[in-house]
Amino acid sequence: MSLHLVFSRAGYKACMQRKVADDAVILLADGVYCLNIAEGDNVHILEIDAKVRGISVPSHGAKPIDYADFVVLTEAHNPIVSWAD
Amino acid sequence: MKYTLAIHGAPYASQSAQHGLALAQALLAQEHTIERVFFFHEGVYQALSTRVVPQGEEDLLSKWQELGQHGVELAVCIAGGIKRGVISEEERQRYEKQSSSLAEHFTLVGLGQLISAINETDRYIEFPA
Amino acid sequence: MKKMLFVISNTPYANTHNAELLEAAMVGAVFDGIVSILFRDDGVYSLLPDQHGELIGQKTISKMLSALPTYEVERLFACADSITKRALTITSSPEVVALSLAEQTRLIAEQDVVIGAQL
Repeated sequence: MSLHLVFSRAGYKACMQRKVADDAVILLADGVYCLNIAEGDNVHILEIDAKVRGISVPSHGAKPIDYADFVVLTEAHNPIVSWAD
Repeated sequence: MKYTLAIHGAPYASQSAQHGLALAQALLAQEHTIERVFFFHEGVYQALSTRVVPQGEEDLLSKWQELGQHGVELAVCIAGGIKRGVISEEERQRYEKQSSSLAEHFTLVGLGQLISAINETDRYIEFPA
Repeated sequence: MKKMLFVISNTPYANTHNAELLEAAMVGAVFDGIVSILFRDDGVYSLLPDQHGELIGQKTISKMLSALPTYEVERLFACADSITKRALTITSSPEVVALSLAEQTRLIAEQDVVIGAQL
């Protein structure tokens, strides 16, 4: 299974069109602005990047992660695809 | 696991360096190996030695250099680097420039070093511009 | 030997990323990688024939693409949807295979590495 790193809103759209349904996703950088439209069980959000931007992460939906969790996701998935359109 | 990281963004133009550094530190903390960090596109500017950190801001260059001191290879794309003015002492002499600009612990390498790192590692992670 | 997919998603002359990425793809092939290139979204503008980068002192992307088969980079793909949306007629040489979104999903999933998140 792949891990998709989503860095922007346009990147989110391009990724959603092309990812396998149960692939893992991390929203980071400006990708965190997609929090309210992000769908699926396997979506994560880099909590520090959300905090930076004043985005609060609700307890349901995307799972907040730190860099240690980020590492664990990279261990479990390949390829790791970045989307930054 | 063995990792290759790639940094594509210039300082102050994206979070590329912050992401790459924080992930690199977390990887090392979890006993992973980083074979090489490859600086590509505008990411080559991360290796400029002449950067002055504004007061109160993070010194990203020193943080990269700390990683370098811990044995992580900081590899700057030579073609992308020299055309953007990131030159080692060796290149300074070759092109007869007044001063070099490549920070300590970084090296200029060919694109082949990106591909060979990818071939030798389990994961490739890219931080875009 | 790793399966490497290079993704080009931006216009070709706003910066030099596309040219640099194509160089990396060629080196990937020289190092025996199984190299594919996918053009999607604004990246499909790289597939217009008869470009003249030399007029602004840059490498001409269409010429670089023509050289790819010499490096045994022959798996060139483009997003059919992106081409249609932009009403483009793309180059016929080298041959570029148009893929649906579902086919792109499969292409990405089968790779060992994906290179080229761009801005």
